[in-house]
Amino acid sequence: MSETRTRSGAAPEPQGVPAGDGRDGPGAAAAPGGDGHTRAPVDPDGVVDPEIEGSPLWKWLDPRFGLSKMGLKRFVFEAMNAPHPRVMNPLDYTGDILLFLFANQVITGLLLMTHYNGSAMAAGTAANPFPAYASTVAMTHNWWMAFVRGLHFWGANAMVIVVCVHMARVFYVGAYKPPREFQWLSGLILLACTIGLALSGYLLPWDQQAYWATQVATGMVKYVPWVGHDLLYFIRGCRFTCSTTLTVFFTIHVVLLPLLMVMTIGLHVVLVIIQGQVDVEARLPAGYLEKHRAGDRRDFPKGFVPFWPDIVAWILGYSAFSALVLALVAGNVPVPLTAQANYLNVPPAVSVYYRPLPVWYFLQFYQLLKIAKNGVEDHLLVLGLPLAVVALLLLLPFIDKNPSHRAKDRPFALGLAAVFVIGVSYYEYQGFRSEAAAPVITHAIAHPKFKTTILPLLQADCTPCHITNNPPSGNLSLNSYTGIMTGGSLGAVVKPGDAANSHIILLLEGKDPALPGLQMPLGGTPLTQAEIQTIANWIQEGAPNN
Amino acid sequence: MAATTGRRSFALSVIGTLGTLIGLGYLVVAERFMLPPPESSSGLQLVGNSSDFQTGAMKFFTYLGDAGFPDGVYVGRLTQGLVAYDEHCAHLQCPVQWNAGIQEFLCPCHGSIYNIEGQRIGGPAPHPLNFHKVVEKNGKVYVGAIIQWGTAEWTAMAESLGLIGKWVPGTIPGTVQYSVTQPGSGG
Repeated sequence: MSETRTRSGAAPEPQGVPAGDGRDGPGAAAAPGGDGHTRAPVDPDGVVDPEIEGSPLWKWLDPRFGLSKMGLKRFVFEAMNAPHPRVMNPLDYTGDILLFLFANQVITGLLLMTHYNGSAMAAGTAANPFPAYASTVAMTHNWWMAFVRGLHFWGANAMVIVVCVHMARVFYVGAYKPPREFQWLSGLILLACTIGLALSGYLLPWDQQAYWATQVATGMVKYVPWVGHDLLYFIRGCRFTCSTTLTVFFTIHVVLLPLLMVMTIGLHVVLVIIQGQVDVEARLPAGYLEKHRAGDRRDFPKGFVPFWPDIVAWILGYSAFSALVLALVAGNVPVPLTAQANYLNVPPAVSVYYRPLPVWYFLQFYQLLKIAKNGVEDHLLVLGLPLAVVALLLLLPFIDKNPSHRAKDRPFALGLAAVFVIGVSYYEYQGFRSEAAAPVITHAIAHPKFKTTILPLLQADCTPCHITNNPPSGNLSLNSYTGIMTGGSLGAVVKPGDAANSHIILLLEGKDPALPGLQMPLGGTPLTQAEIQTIANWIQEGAPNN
Repeated sequence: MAATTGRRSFALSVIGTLGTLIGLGYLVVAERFMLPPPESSSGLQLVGNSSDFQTGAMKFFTYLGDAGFPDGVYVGRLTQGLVAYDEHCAHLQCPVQWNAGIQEFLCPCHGSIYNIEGQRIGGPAPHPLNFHKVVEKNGKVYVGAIIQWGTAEWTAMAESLGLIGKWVPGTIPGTVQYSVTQPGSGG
């Protein structure tokens, strides 16, 4: 890397060497020609990089497309020579990692398309399964197909994570501020595409999780005033998610959004090249940018390296690292796949009621939606909150008039962002906790303690409804000793010393005569015998608050 | 030059007009192509005898709706007559579950709760459950197409079941009042 400013002339013919220093002004000198193709007698931009210009690729391209004449020469040379600090913050490479991840999605997506049958035109029974589901299941039977599916699925998850990190970084360094508004706005389109692709791709396996997550996510469209129902029908192709929805989403997933995304990535990248990165700009020597728009090899700042090949090597390094992590995850963690989609999801149409759940990065929104107490609050959350977030993001570069990029000059913006991140994390955690797995109990505990054994069980399996809901289901709160001992609509649920006649045990076993046919947790997986026995033992001992 | 200006503005207006017309044309085509078919395109389907439906009980059926899409329907009897509810929650369309023991429909997604009259008594749902058409004829019970909340048909159905008058503010603690006669924008 240290040879970047003393290049050894890798090009076969080192011609086009700069005439010397002092060629900063436009049209300072004509580059010497003589490499077989004609160049304009006066090159207003000068020769920025003889190595690139001398390369066989350039010599092949330039006469065919007139790159020199079109002004593209300057663009290419400046992009390739733009000075970057030798060591940059790894977070400044998140955009490049995203580019790699997108390429991964395209490659693996094309592979998956060759074996995926995007149709739900079937009865959806075991004998006559949906082709979309059956073809997805078939892929799990072949290691390499499962691996490619893993690369695609975990790659999509990685994209969501890295997009958030990228956005946070851009916000932190103030890269959305003028003159970079369009970098920010095109980035928002890419964010929308990423979420749209994640959402539409989620449906394609056509399993229970896919079907019901899509039903709920698209269902929010009906909250749009006046045209909500028609818009919802337009998106689904049906009143409720049906086989047409799969076709619509498949089209969105493989044609519409990738097309939009490729075009917007082009714009986004070109804008970054033209306008440069905030971090790089801040570290360049004073006055450098006024003197040179971009890299000039004859006046390269100390400690800086050109984009090509040094930074590109870093990018490939980060990409290779990302690829390695992704491959390790994809090769070892199976992609979740639930039972085949069921339009009814009510027994006896299904043997196990599937409890619809959002994908992990929407758990915070899912949790928020539960707290609405009436229609007005509900509209504010389903419609108002997303609109407010989108409006704020769109207007950010125009609202924030503070020109500084330094963190200590921006206490308000960064403070607000911190509040936002803490809020999202809090609800994400709450949403996650409301779906948390129960503590593992393999053998019934003879003398369980309330605080260490019973309460964690309740919080894992019961509190998603028996506290979060407003009012809690059955007017029963199960997140405290007081709550469980007070009981709910059925009266007391615990009869100390009489587990066999306690509603909580009967309901967990699905044998409560007061609620025939109902087994708790409603819509969830029944507790194991060991877990139920553990709770029964606690009640048998008098249900102490220990 | 005036001639150039005239020619230029003519060309610009041609571009503007034709561009708008072509764009609008495709919008109309897309809209017509994707919009819902008439509601009642699916007919009545037999779900049982009148005697099968007792007051205070709800039975689950599959109604084959538009294009053969199976839609879950709860059919039951209120004191005022037969009623059929669509299984999809009024909030974000998860399937609600009827719970005979507490006489409530529970939605497992975001925790909406409805009473046997389909009215929200808890959770985030913005309005009562949607109906399905239900007809009792010669001792047989038939279910028809969905009747969405906010339509005149829904209000008529609620009125025929005597539900409108019951839903006045304060009758059920902790609930909001729905303006059932007003065509809904958010429903």
